[in-house]
Amino acid sequence: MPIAAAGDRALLATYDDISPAMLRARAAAVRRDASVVACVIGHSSLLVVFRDTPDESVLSVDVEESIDPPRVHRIDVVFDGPDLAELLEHAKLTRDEFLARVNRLELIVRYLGFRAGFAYLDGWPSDFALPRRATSRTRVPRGSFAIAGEMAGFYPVDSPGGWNLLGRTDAELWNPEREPPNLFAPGDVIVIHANS
Amino acid sequence: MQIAEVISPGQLTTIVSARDWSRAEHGVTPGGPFDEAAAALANRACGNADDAALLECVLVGPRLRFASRMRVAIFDGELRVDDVDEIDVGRLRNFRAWIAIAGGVDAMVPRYADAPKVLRRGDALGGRAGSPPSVKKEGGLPARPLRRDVIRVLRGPHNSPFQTIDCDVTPQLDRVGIRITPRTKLPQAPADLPSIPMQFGTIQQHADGSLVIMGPDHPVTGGYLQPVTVLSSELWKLAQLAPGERVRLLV
Repeated sequence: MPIAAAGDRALLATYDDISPAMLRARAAAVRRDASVVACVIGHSSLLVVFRDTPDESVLSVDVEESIDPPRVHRIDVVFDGPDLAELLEHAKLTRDEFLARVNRLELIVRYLGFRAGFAYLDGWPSDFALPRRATSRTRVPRGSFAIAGEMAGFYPVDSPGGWNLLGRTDAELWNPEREPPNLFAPGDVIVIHANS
Repeated sequence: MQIAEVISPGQLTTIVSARDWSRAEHGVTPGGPFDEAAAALANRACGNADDAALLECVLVGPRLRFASRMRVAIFDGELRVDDVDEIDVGRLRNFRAWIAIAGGVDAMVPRYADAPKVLRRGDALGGRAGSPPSVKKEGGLPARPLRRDVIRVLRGPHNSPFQTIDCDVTPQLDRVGIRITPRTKLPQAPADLPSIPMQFGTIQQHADGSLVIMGPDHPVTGGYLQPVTVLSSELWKLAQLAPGERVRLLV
């Protein structure tokens, strides 16, 4: 896999077609090296931050997926978002047909970013994809379930946002006083339970 | 315990804690001072650990009234140390400065807070009122050139034909990032790449041709082109970039 310098204290490793579970396991293995300060997960990449001079060999470590097994979360979602009507029209579905499709849908966390540990989720059906909204909303409520392109996500805190809002959850996605603060970690599986 | 009252917050005074990469692994910015060496120097002068929480000021410093006489160190280009009941820092000499207080200051936000605390008038500053060393050591930081308008960068992590370029610093700057406008046109950047993690010193090139240098409170990942990254030994220069200045990114 290509390894690029990211400044003089870090390396970026980019992977072709890697599963979230394997990416998570690789990051856990790399973090064990004494020369590594941090290993942060991107969409298909790892940023390895070193105490001193970067050393590519830490990325050649043997990895077993069982090193840090992902968790499965059941998340109840009420699908009453302001952009749902647009999606139903675009996909030519009734609300009931949509709910039947998304109930028990499995999404996988690829990586975190944006704000307050926002988790970018894979697995949203491509026939339900909607592009990002042309204008962002200044305030998307905490717990909102949203999609953009073929990615999905839950807004963990109130924030601005440009994704399409389909529903919401009461699950405590983010708590800055909790250890760990994030409910979701890269590689975790989220099973949607659609409440009408 | 309360160690001080904020009589006046200054232009923008933030309580900065040590850079914490475990935060990034949970999806929030690692944070940290804009100038780690300056913060460490001020902390040491108060008998604190190098990475104790302290105050980071912009343009105009705060006025603080202490509950009792405290050792305070201010780094504003050079270090001043004193035992005081009150400080009224006023207009800074440089763009940013750091104030350390013996015993450190409480962060006032949780460990995984999205953003650090900005001081407001009337805030109560918490701390431990530690006992500083008996000898006051003042002075500057060694091996810092006077010239700070040339910043050395390394190519990567993305491939691109990026060359040395002169830029203007815009007023859009804060701890999250510093927007700069290239004086010559850059080759077109792709609009939407798979997101990769970022660091303090990562430079993003946006599709509209502008550049944004990531500050200490940068977002954890991003999908913009990252053609170059600032060398770790040059990061301190970013702390002093002010609107209207010219800066050269030297590849």
